[in-house]
Amino acid sequence: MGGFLRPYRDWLMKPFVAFFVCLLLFHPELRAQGDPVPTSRAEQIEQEQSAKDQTLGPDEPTPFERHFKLAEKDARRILQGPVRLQVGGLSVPSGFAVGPSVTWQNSTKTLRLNSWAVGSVRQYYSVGTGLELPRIGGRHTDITVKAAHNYMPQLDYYGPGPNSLKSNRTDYLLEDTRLDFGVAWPYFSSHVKPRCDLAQVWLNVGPGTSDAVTSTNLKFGPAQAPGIDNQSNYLIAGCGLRFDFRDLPDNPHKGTAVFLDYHGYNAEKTSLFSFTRASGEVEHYIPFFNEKRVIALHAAADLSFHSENQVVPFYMQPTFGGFRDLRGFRFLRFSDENAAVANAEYRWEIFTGFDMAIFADAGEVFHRPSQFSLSNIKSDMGFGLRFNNQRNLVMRIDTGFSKEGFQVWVAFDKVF
Amino acid sequence: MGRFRQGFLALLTIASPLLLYASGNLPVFLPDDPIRIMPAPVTVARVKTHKIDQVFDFIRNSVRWEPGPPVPADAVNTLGEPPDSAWFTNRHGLKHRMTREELQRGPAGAPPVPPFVVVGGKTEGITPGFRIQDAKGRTFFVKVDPKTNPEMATGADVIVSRFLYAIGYNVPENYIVRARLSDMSVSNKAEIATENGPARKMTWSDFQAIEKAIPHYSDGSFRVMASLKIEGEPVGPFFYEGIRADDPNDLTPHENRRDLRGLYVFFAWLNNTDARAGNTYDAIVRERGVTFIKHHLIDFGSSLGSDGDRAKDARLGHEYMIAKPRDALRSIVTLGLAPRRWERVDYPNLPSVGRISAEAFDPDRWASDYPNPAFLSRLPQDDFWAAERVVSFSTDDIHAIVETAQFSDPAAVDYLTSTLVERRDIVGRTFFAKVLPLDNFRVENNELLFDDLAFQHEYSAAQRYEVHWFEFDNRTGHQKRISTRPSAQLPPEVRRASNGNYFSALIESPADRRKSVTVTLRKTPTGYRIVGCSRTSV
Repeated sequence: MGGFLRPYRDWLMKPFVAFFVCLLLFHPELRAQGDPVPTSRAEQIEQEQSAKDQTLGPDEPTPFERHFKLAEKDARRILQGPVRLQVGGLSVPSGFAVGPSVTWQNSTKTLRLNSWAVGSVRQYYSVGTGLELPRIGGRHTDITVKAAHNYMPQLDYYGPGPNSLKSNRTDYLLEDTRLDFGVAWPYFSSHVKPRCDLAQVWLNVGPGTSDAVTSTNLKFGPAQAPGIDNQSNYLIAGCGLRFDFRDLPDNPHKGTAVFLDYHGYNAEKTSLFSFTRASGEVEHYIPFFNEKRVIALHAAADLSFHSENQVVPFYMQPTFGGFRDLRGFRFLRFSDENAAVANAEYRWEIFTGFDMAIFADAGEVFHRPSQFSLSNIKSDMGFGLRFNNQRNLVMRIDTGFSKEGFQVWVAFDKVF
Repeated sequence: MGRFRQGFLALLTIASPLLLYASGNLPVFLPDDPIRIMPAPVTVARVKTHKIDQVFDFIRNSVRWEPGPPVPADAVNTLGEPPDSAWFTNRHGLKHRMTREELQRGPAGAPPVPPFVVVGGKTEGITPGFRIQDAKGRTFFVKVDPKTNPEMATGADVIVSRFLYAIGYNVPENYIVRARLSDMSVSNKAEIATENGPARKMTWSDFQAIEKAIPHYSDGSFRVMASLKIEGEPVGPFFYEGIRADDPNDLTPHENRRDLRGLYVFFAWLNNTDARAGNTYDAIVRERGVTFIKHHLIDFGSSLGSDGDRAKDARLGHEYMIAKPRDALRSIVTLGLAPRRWERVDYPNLPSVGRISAEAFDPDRWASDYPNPAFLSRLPQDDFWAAERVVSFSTDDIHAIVETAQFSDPAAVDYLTSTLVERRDIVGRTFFAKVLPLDNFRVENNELLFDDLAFQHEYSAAQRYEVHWFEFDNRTGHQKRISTRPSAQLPPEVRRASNGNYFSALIESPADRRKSVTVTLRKTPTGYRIVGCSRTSV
C-alpha cells in the first residue's frame, strides 16, 4: 500500500473490512468474472467470447443420438441393402416370415436381378430368382423372367360356393414351381401398357399339415373339391392391358385404373382341368378437401370358361375372404369358378403419414354366371388405420365385421 | 468523525470497482449502445463437423408441440434488434431499403457459364440432382423441377433465397439456368450416389436418366436451379436450439436468438415449411483476417407452393406433419367430417406456382413441418421485429423478386406477387396487433416522435398514445416518474438535465394498457440519442 492509503490503515485492518474484501475477491461466483469491468458493449461481448474460448469442448451428439444413428444405419443395411433381410412376402396364413434377399442392377438400370429365400414360422417358404430387362429393344419393351418354388402347407378350403360353411374349414398343401416369362410394352405412354405372359407351373397338392384343422382330402371329395384326387401341371398363356391414370399407384389419391387380363390354363396331365379365365379390375379414386379425403371405389371379377366336361380344380379357383377383398371374413373363405367383388372406402387423413378409413365390402362366388344371385352376396364393414410415406402405403391395420364375426388384418400392402 | 468519513470514502474508492466487479451489475446502457455490428469474432480452432441424423432430428422434434417458459430473446442490441453478425446482416428494412436491382440480384455474383461438366449426381430418391462445374471452374449444386410442375421448385428456391438475403440471412447464390444437353458433359472423375450401396462412377447414361426426369421446353432446352457452393469449409448444419460447444462466438442458445425466432415469421410469410436443421449450413470462413463459423440457410425448394418434387401438400403450413394429439383426436372422432378451413381452400391451376394461397393463412398458427425449437420459443416481441421487416417489402419489391424466378406464365408472376402481398399484410395485421406497433423513435423540437406502423400500413385506424416520462438510473435500472400529465413533449427536467443523463418514456395506448413501449434516451451534447426500446405485449 502506498502513502495514499497509510492514513486508513486502521480501517483496512478491521476484521469485517478484511472479510468484505475477501468475500469480494474470493467468492467463487465473483471470481468467475475475472475480467475487468467492460466499458462498452463490444468489450463485454469480446470478454464473453474470450471466456468461452477458454472453455471450448467438442460438440458431440448425445449418447442416445449416437446409438440411434448406429441402430438406424444397421437397420437400413439389413433391410434395405442389396443383400438384405426380407420380412414377409408370403401368403397371409404363413405367419411371420423372414429370409435373405439379394438385388442387383447394372449401372444403366437395364438389367435387374433378384433372388430370395423366405421361410415362415408355419413352415411356408418361397425361394426364387427373377430377371428384369426394362426398356430394351429401343426402350419400348420390358421383359421379365422369374423362377420360383413356393411351399404352402396349410391353405384353407371351406368347400365350393357362396353357402359353404365356416365350420367346414379344412386345409391342404399346395406346392408349386413356376417359370414365368413376361413381355410388356410401355409403348403408348406410361399410363397404357399391354403385356403378355407365358408360365409353366408344376403343382403338387396334398394333405394339409395343421393339427387343428381336418385335411381337405378327408372332408371333401372330387365333387366338392375338384382335383383333390387328380392334379395336373399347367401351361398358362395370355395377355392383358393396363390403363393406369392414378396419381401414385402405390398410394393413390386420385385417378382411375383398369386392368384386363385373359389367360388360357392348359392342364398338361389331364384334359379335365383346362379352362380360360377373364379377369377385370377397376379402381377409381375421388379426392376432395384438397385430397385430404378420398373415396376409393374398387370392383373386380374373375370369370372362368371351359367346356361342359371340364372343371376348374379347387386350388386354381378364385377365392374371396381376407385382407384384400372381404375383410370381415377369414382368408380364402369362399371359392368357386367365378367371383366378383366390390369395395368402397372413405379415407381421411389424420396427419401426414397416417390415414383412417371406413369401408364396406361385398362379393360373391358362383359356379356358373347364371347362378349369380343378389341374395348370395356376402358383405362386411369395418375400419382401418393406414400408415404411409410420401408415395407408398407402408402398413395398414384393417378390422372387418361380418355375420361370421370380425377379422383384424395387419398388412404391408395397399388394399386393392 | 471526520477521520471516519475520510476512511469510509477511501474504502469506497477502493471497493467501488470491486463492488462493481463483484456484483456483476453493469450499467444498463453502455456508451456504445445500441451496437449495430457485433465485435470481430474470435478465431475458431478445432471444430467438429456436425452430422445430422434426419430421422432422429425429425422424431425428437416432432413430439414436442408446446413451448417452454417464455424467455426474452437474446443476441439483440438494446433496441431489440439483432446486430450484424455471422448469422444475420441488416440489409432491407423500413429504415434502410435496398434498391430494386439489389433485391433482384440478391447474393448473386456472376451466373454459371456454360459449358458445364457434371462432377457428381444422384438418381435415387425422390428428387434427382447433380453437381456441375462451369466454364470458370466454380462448383454448383443443381436442382430440378418435377415433371408435373415445371419451374415450380426452381422458382421457389430462387425467390425465397432473395427474400431471405434481403431480410438479412446468409444464403447461397441461386441461379435459374436454361441449358441444353449439348452444354453438358460428364467428368471422368464423376461419381453417382446409389441408394444403398457405395457411390460408383457416373456415366453419360446416368446423366441422361436424370435429364429425362426434368421437364423440357418445346425447344428441347431444360431448366435447372444452380446453387453456388458456399465458400468455406463446411462443418455441418446448425441446430435450432443449444449452442456449439466448439465455437467461441456462439454465446446465445439458438432458440433464444431473435434472428432465428423471427425466422418463423419470414418462413410463414414465404411458406417455407421445411425448417429443419438439415436445411442449414455452417461453414468456416476467413474474413478480415479472422477465421470463424458463418451460419447459412439453404434449400428453399419446399417453400411457397412447392414441396420440392410436387405441389405442396395442403396440410403443410397449417399443421405439423405429426399433428398435435388434440387435433388428431378431433379428426378421428369426427371421422374427418368437420373439415378445417385450409382443407377447403381452392387453389388456382398454376403448375409453376403449386399450392399457396393467402386464404386460410393464419401467421400465428402457421406450422413448419415439425415444431422447430426456436419457433416454439418466440414471443410477440420477436414476431413484431420480424413482421416489421416483412412489411418493409413494398408490392413493387415483391414483384421484383418474384420476377427473378423467370416464370414462363405471366399469370404465375401475378398470382404469386398478389398472394405474397396479401400474406404480407396478414402478417403485419396479426403481429402488429400484439404489441404497440411503434418504431422510428426520435426527438425533434423537444418532442418524442414515432411512427405507428399499423396506421402507416393501413392495418388499423390511428390510435391515441400517452407518453409518461421517467428519470432513469443507468446503474440500477430504477425509474422515477417526473411528469404528472402524459405528453410527448420532453418535460423540463429532461431538457434541463446535463449530458449523459438517461430518461425513459413509457408509451401506452389508453385503449389497451397491457401493451406498452418503453423508450430510453440519453442526453448528448448534440441532442438525444435513443439507446433503448422494450415492449410489453398482450
